[in-house]
Amino acid sequence: MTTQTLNSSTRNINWLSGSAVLIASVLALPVLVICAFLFAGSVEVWSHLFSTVLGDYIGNSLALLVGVSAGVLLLGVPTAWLTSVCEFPGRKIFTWALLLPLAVPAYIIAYTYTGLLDFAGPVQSLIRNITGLGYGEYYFFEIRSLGGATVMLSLVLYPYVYLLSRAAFLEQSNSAIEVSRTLGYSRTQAFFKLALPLARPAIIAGLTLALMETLADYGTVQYFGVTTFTTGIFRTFYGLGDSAAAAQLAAMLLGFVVLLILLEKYSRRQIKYHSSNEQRKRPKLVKLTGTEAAGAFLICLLPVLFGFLLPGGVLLNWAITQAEFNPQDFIELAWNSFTLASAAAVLAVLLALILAYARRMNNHRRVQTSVMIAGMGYALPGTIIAIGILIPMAWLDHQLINLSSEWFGFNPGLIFSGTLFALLFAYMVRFLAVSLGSIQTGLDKIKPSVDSAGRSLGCTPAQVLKRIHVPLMRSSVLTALLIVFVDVLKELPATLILRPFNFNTLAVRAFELASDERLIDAAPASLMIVAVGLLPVILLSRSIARGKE
Amino acid sequence: MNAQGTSLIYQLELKSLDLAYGCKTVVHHASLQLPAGQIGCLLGPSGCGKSTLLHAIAGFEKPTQGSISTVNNVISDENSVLPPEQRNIGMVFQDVALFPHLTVADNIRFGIRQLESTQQQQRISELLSLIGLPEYANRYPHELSGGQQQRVALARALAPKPDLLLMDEPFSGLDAKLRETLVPEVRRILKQEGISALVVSHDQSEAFSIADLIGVMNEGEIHQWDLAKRVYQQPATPFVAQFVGQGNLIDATVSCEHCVDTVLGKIRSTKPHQLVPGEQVKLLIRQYNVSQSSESPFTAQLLKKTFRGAYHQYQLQLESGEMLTCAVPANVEHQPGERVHIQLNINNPVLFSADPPQ
Repeated sequence: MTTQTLNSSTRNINWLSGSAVLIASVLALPVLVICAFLFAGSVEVWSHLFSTVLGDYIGNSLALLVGVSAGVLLLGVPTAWLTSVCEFPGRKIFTWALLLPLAVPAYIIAYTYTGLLDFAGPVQSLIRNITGLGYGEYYFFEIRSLGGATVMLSLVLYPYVYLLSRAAFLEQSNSAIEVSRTLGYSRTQAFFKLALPLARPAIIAGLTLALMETLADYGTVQYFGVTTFTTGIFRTFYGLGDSAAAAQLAAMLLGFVVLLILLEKYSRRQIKYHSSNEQRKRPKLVKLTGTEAAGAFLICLLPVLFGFLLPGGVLLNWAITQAEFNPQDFIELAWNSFTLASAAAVLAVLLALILAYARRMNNHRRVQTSVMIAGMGYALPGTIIAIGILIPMAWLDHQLINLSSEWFGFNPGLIFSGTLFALLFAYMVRFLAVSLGSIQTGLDKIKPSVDSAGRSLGCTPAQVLKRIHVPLMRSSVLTALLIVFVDVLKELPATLILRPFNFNTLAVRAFELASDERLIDAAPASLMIVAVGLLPVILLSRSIARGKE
Repeated sequence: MNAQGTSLIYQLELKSLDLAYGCKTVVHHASLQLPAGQIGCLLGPSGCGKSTLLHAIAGFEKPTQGSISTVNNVISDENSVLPPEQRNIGMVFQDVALFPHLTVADNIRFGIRQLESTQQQQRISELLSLIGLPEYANRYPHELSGGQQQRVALARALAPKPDLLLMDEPFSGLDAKLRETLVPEVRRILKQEGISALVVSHDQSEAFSIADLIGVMNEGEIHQWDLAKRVYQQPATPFVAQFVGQGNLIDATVSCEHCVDTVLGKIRSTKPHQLVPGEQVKLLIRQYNVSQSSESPFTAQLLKKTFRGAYHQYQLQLESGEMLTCAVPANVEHQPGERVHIQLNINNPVLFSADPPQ
C-alpha cells in the first residue's frame, strides 16, 4: 500500500489560487488605468472639458437615466404584476414573450424605428399621402432625439425590471397578502401597501441593471446625435486624439457606474431581508374578466409589440425584400463574428472554471476578492474598458517596437493593441462575470460531500472530476458558452474601438451601414444578431417555465 | 478506557489522535478500538469534534498527532495520510450525497465498476433487495423520498464490501417516525453484511438502538468508549452521566465502605466502593431512581410539572438547592410550590469524586 503526503494536492490548490489572483489582477488593469487618469490629469484638460462639453454630457446622461427609469418601471412593473398574480387570456404566452425584447440590441431597434418613422419612412409618407400636407406643414415626433433614445432604450431594457420584480412578486408568500386581507385591506390596497414595498428592492435591482446598460449604450445615442459620456469619449479619443481627456471622461462615467453598483448591491441585500423562508403555497391567481382582462392583455401586448414584434417584422421585411445583399461579404462578416464570439466564449469559460475551482478548493480571502474583482467588469461600459485597454497596450507596443528596432532592427508592429488580443482582453473584462455566474451556480450545486463520497468509493481526485463533475457541470458550461457568445456578438463600442484594422463584425457593419443612412442594407446583419440573441432568451424563458413546476 | 470487546482483531484502532483546524485543536488524544463486525457510535453534542474524527478516519483530514490503523496497517499518522480512495472505507454522509446525474443502480455501481458486469448486476440487485427497494434501480435520486435516498446511500457505500463503514449523522435529516423504523433496519443490514461500522450521532436513543459500542465525546475528547449498556449504567465521567440518560448529580459524603450519606438519606451499595470515608462525592440520580412516597421523611419542593400522558414529570428542588426530576403517576396531584415526599431507590450507586479528573 502506498501512502501519500498531502503535498501534491496542496500544490494544486496553490497553483489554482495563484492563477485566480493573476486573472483578477490582469482583468482589473483597465479600470486601474482609468482611475489613474482621474488623478494624473492636468488642470487645463479638466477645465477645458468642464467649460465646454461636460455640462452637455452630464445633463444628457442624467436626462436619459431619468427618462429610462420612468420608461422601464412603467413597462416592467405592471406587466410583472399582471403575469404573476392575475389570470387573463394570453398570460402564459406573455410570461415568456415579455422577455423577447432582451434579444434586440438598443442600437438595432433605434435603426429600425428611424427607418420607420423618419421623414422618408413609410409612416410619414402615409400621413402625407392621406392628408396631402408637405414637409414642415405638420407636426411629427422626431425620433432622433433625447426623447427618442429614451423610448428606444426603455423598450429593450424593461425586461430586466420585469424579470426581477416578477420573481419578487412570485416569491411573496400568499399568506402575507392573506393576512393583510384579514386585517381589512382591499386587494388594491394590499398591492400598494404590501406587495409593492416588498418587491421594491428587486425592482430597484432590476432598474439599476437597466441603467447600467443605459450608461454603457453607445450605438443608440451616437446614432440619434445625443451627446452623452460614451459619445463624448469616442469624440475626444478619435476626433481630438486626446487619450488623456478621453480617459478622464471615462473616469467620470465610472463614477456614475460605481454609484449604480453600490445601489444594486444595497438592494440585493434588502432582497435577502425581504424574502421569506417559510413554505410558500402556490398563490392563487386572480381571474380577470371583461374590460379588466382586455386591459391586462393590452398592457402586456404593447411592450412585446413595440419592443420585439414590430422591429423584428420590419427587419425581416427589409432583409428579405429590399436590402442590398452581398452573400460573400455577409458570410465573411458572420464568420468573423462567430469565430471571435466562439473564441471569447471558450476563453471566458476556461477562466471562469479556474476561478470557480480555485474558490471551491481554497476559499481564502485572497481568492474570494479575486473572484469578486473578475466579476465586476459586467457593469463597465465597453467604452471605458476599451480606453483602459488601449492606453496601456499602445504603450506596451511602442516599448516593444523601440526595443525591437534598436536590438534587432525589426519592427514587429502593434502586437497587443493592433490585433484581436486587445479585443479578447476587453471581452474577458466585460463578460467573464457572465460565464462565472453560470459556472459558479453549477458548481455550488455539487455539494462537497458528493466529492467525498466519490473519494470514499475509490476515485482519485482526477476521477472525481471526470466521473462526477464533468457530467454534472456540462449544462452550466454550455449555458455559459452560449450567453458569452451572444453577448460578444451584440457588443458594439469596445469592438468598434479595439478591432484590428479592416476587421468587421456583424455589429460593426450594421452600425456603419446605419451611420451611412443605409438603414435597409443594415437589416440582414441586424436580423442575424437578433436571431442569435433569441437563443439565451429562449433558454431563460424555459428555465422560468421549469422553475414554476 | 478500553472497549470490553472480546475479539482481539480490531477493525479500527485510533491511538491518541489529535486533529486541528489551523492552530485550533478540535480533537484531543482520541483513542478507541472497534472489533471486527461490531457497530460503534460516537455520541456527543454538536461541535464536539465527532464528525471531524470521522472525516479523519475516512482520510479527509490529516492528524497532527497519533495514528489511525485498520486491521494491520497504519492509514493515517502525522507524517502521511493514505488517500481516501485507497482505504476501502465506505462512508454515508449526513446530506446523503447521492450522485444526482446517475440512477439508483448506477449510484450503487459507482464503486464497483472494476467488477465484471454480471457481478456488478448481481451485487446491485442483492443490495437493492437488502435495502428493500428492488424496483427502484432505474429511478433517479430526486424521485426518491428522504428515507429511500438514505438507504440507497447505504447500499452505495456497502457495494464495494468496505472493511469499515462510516456514517455521519445518517438519520438527522429524517423525521422522527421514519427514524424509528430506519435505525433498526440499518442495524439489521449492517449485521447481515457482517460489516464493522462507526456511526456519528448526537441522539442517544439512536446511538443505543444502533450500536454495540458507544463513545461519548465532549469538547474534542472521548470521555468513555465502552459497551452501550455500561455507558449508561457505569458512566465514566460526570459529563457522560449527565449527557446519557439525563441524570442529576447531588452532593454526598462517604460514610462507610458500602455507603454514602445524602440529604435524602443513606444509600447502600451491594459492592464496596474504593472511596475513603469522609470524602465529598457526587451521586448520580436518574429520573427512575426517585419515587414519590408519602411515607418518606424526605421532601423536595415542586418547581414545575409537565404532563406526559401516563405520568407527570416533576422538576424538584432539594433544600440544598440541587435539582432532581421524578416521574409521578398521572392520578397524583401536586401543585407547584408544594413539598413532595420522595425517596431514592438506588442499588448500584454511581459516584464521582467531588473534583473528578476530566
